[in-house]
Amino acid sequence: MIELKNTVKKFDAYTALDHVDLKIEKGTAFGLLGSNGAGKSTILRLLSGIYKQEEGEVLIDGEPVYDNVAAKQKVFFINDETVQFGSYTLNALKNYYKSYYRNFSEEMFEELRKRVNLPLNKKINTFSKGMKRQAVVIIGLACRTDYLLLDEAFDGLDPTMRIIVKKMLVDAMLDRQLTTVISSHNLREINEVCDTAALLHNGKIVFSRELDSVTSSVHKLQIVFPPNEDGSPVEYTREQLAETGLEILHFERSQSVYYIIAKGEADVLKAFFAPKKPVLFEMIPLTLEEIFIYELEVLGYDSSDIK
Amino acid sequence: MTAATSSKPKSFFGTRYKNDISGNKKLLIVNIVLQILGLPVLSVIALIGFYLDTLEDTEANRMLSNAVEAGCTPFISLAVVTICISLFLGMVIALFHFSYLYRKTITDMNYALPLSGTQRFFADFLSGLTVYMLPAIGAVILSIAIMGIGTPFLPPMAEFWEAFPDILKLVFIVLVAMILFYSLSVLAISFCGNTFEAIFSIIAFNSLIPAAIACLWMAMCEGEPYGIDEAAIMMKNIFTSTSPIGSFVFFVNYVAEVGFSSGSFSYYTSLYFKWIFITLAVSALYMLAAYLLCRFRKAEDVSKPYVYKAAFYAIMTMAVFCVLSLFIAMGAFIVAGIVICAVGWFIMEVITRRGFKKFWQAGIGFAASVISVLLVCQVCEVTNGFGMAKKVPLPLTVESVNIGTGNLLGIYEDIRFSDKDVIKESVELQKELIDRYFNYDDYNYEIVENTNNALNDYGNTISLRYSTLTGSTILRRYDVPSGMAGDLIKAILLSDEYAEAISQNICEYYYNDEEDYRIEVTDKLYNRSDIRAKDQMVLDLRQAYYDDMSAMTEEELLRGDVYCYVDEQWVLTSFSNTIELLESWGISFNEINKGDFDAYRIGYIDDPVFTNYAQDIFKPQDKKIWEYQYDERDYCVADSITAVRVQYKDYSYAAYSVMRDNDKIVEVVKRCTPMVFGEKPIAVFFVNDIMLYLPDRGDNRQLLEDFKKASSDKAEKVKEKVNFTVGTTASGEVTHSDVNGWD
Repeated sequence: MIELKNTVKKFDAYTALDHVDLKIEKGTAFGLLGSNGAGKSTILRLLSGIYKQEEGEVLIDGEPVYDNVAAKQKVFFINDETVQFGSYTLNALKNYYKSYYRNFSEEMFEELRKRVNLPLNKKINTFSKGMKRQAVVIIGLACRTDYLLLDEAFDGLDPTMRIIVKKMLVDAMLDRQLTTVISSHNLREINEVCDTAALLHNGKIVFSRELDSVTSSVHKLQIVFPPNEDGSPVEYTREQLAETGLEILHFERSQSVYYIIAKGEADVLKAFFAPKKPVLFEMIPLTLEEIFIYELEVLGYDSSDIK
Repeated sequence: MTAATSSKPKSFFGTRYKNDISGNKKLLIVNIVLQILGLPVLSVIALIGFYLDTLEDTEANRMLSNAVEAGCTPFISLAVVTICISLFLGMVIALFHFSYLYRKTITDMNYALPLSGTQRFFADFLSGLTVYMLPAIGAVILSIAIMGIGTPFLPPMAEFWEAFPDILKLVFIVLVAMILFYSLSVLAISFCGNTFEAIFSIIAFNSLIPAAIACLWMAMCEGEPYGIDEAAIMMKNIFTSTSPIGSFVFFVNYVAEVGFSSGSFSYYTSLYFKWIFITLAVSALYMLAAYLLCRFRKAEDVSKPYVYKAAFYAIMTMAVFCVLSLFIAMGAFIVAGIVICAVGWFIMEVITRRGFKKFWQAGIGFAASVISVLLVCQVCEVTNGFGMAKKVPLPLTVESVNIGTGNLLGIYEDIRFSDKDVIKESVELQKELIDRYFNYDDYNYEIVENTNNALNDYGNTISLRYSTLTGSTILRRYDVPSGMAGDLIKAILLSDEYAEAISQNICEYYYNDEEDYRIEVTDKLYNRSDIRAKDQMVLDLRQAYYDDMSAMTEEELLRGDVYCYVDEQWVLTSFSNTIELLESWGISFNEINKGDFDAYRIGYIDDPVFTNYAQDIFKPQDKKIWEYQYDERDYCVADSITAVRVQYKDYSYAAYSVMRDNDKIVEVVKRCTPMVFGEKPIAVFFVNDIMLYLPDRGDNRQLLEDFKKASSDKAEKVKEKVNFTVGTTASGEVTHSDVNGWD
């Protein structure tokens, strides 16, 4: 299990992670979502023992990671760059990592390599961006660590290769309970691969939940309320609704139609508005991308501010 | 899918070490090629040279030799260049092996590996050192092998094997300096997070550390602190063991000593093992410092120009210090120096700040640096080099002292003494000199005009080089009245180390294969006879003299009479081995007879006063002493100083009597001695070319009175300007003879 307990990470005066608590259960496919500079890569680097936190704890299976060889043996980190491998051939890179990871599987490496059809003895800097990414992913998988950390893992892969790589990851998760932590801006991919996700913003966790519960806990509502007795339209403000206990991410009104993005299970929301006897009540589930946007909008990360 | 797993626990240190070497194998190959083109090529050329030496001296062979030599010259140049490049590779290898400290793209790859920081650092350090050193060591072994292969076929190569221990020592100096260079380069990189700064820091550290040390020393010597030798920095470990440039200075001086001096009593050769040890220790310290810096630096600091900004300011302050101290030393306009420094400083600030961000800090930094540098220079001057002029080591902490006494002891080179008495006496002498210099008012000196009986004693410079148990070297040089050095000289003469040195100094220009070397033997009155040295004679003489010197008691030294002089070294009547050996060669001397003086120039000075140029020895704060005109110098008589030696008496007047026909002369000369320790002679006698002292012992005063009475009507009084350059050392050596006004 991965645990971040009250973790603070600072880069000089800038606080990248601000008292973060996070738990990732074993065997989970965990997605890290967040705005740019939210702290996703920082979490991955803390988990792989590259960075050391200023406060709190970063634990892998109960052990601190930083400078701990045993804990680091359980983690393989694939960052968002591949330029560092350019001078190696795939074979040399395989041998390099094989020497450090005790559980490295030649068999798995060969099988995965054949699947993506990568040449063994060509310098990696002659590979395309996608091929480089594939090369690192298959090495990461062949290291057979308990935890695989991927920073922008699917960047540069063509659609077919994305599917292949995703399948590789899923196979490994099913095969040996691999825990995968993926940071990506591509929410659709996170949605496809991950079962749990955390949203970060400004170094803080906005939420960390199973994706199903995330998508089922935020809804877009279109509501038309019946007019008052004098025929005038019913006036509800965001504040009025919030005071009654509704957690609103987005509030908009056009004529008599209210567009509300609200947190809550479908039944709860239905029950909330039932006493107001709406003339129209439509509930539309949100995509992860929409949730991402609305959640961050609440936190002031709003594209509408951009002139 | 089954995993081919290994249950055997791996040493990731070893893994990292191997991976580092294989990852840098191109660099290793380049280094191997360079090394092979270096020393082994020179060895082959040396073999060719030895082969040419075996050829007969014919016109054809001479032409062949010239042609081969001309052909070899480009290869020699190539070898020297490749050796230089391979030495310089230390910096490149350090940069390659620690590139993750300044290249952002490879930081994650390196830090994420299952390695602890300690494993990573030491594996990288040692793998780099291997890539750097292994080819060099291989080249040395290969070169020795090449020379070894040639030896059976080339008889002149015996010469090489004779010098081989010295050559090997030189090779070790280079190897140790390489380790130092590599360690310092790694240390410099550890401060940086960017390529430019990493390269700049390596160059800066390697050049500015020795420069700043030398400049600091220069600043300390600016006020000419008493007894401090400016050249001493060249042999201080803080200079020679802390940087490759310092090591180079040590190497050059070592080569000069081994190659051009007799090598027995020299500075650098005696420092060799200490230098090796200290330089390795300093390298280890650099490595440790680099390790700690790497441990405490964070992965995210990579790409910052300086991870530890203090290093940048240290570099810049060292540079400012060097420039300003040079300006001060040259007496140049200091503002110009500050302007030059400011330009350099702000250019570097713009580069390392990547712009003008918070540039006011640069101004503050520069001002602080200049103020601190000027303050250090000022403090150096005010405190007389941080009080180093008054520093006297505790005898207990002194491991050995190298003493150079000029010609006071008959040996011009320094002698290394571990003898406790010698160490104690040298410390005591230094204490007294310092006390007399700084506490001038506590002493009374009689200022004398050029009196008729004044004998000037000056020009005695004694150098003391202490090697302390902590590994430091303290070098001082003083002008000392010879009488003040009496106790030290006595301790030296009684030491085994002096016995060894002086016996080896006998016939020092004799070589084993020499058959016509002449050993000079003179009697007490300096009647000379030569012996032609054959076979073992010189070696036997040295051994006999050593046996006698080392067995000499204090009583024999103080009261002994001179039997004769061998190769200008006195032989006391107690030196049975030497006298016996001389007798076996047919040389023996009878007692002095009156008739012996018939052909001699004999003179004496009654009640001599031994004087020194005051300003040479004591702090010139007393105006009476200091304000003198050239050629009208005042001479001072130190109250407790008794001379043992008078070297010069030029441009002064002395009243002395010249006589031969005196019945008492035989007895007086018998009682005279060429050396006096801690007692004032009552008369000085000039017999032929030597100077003898009549000590104030027993009934010598009465004898002197009788002698004077007997000579008063016969002696011719001479009172005119004389130009003595007659001198005897304490060991009785006659240095020169050019006497006017005799007879």
